Amino acid sequence: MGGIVKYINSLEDKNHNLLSFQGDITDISLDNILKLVENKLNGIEKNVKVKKKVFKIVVEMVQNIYHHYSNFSSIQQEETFQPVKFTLDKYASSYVISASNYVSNSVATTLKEKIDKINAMNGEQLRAAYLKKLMRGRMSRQGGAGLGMIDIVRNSESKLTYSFEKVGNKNAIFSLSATVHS
Amino acid sequence: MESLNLDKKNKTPEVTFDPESSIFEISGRSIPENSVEFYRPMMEWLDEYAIQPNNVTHFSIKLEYFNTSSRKCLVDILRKLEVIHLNGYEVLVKWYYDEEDEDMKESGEDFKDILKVPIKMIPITL
Repeated sequence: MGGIVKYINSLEDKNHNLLSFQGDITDISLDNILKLVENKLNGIEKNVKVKKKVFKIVVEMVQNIYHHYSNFSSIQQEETFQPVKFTLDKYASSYVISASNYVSNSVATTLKEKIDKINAMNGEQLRAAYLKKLMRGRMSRQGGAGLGMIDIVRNSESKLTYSFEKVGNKNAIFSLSATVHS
Repeated sequence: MESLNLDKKNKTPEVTFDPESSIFEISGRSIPENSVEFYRPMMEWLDEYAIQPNNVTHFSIKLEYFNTSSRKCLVDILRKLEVIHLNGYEVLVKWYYDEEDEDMKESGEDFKDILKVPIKMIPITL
């Protein structure tokens, strides 16, 4: 499977980008992203709490696009190139972690409902929803979107932002961003 | 019963389940993509152990961090220990967490809230 793999390593970059990735997400690229992120954070972030929060969210988001990518690729053979994207940006007092991947329109609708619901919850409601999902035990091989999303929100302590960009009639590019205040 | 030993790797923790020396420990980080596969041998091992467990099982979890799918698998691991506990054996889960890490503390408390197996919270300085 071909694709573009691009890493940008430029702290001086005007747009504050620490790392960008676009292309096929495989076991190897996934490992590379996580290693690069960890190295970057070790180099620039002194606050261990912030570092952990950012890294945890990166793990969730990158593994999420990895699972959805492999899942989506197997059912959408007509698509020849389905890139996923991942970026980590650092601003004066925050980190922004963003990921995007293809989803079918029906998945897009479900995701939108799920995120709106999560964004409307306060801390206690999030914990209650989280425990309820956690109690159900083991998940499918693809992972559990609901729990992962709540995990991201609980770690970032701010609302998720998202967008859906239509691609043809059946699919959309789903972009998700989380912010961690440093 | 044979012990289960897994070496620490970049994305997976060190695992020691050794009934003979009474060491049951998971330590390190747990962020594999396929947690279900990674935790399967532990589940199977515990199923067998549950048939004739030690009178006392102290189970230590010392994780730096873990992903959501590992969290679900940990619930399943703890459920197996819960069964042993409910069958009348002494089981204590020791949840070690970095005292500055609120999230890991909260995770231990989450487990305490949803499970009946005794969990002791142990703050440590990393």
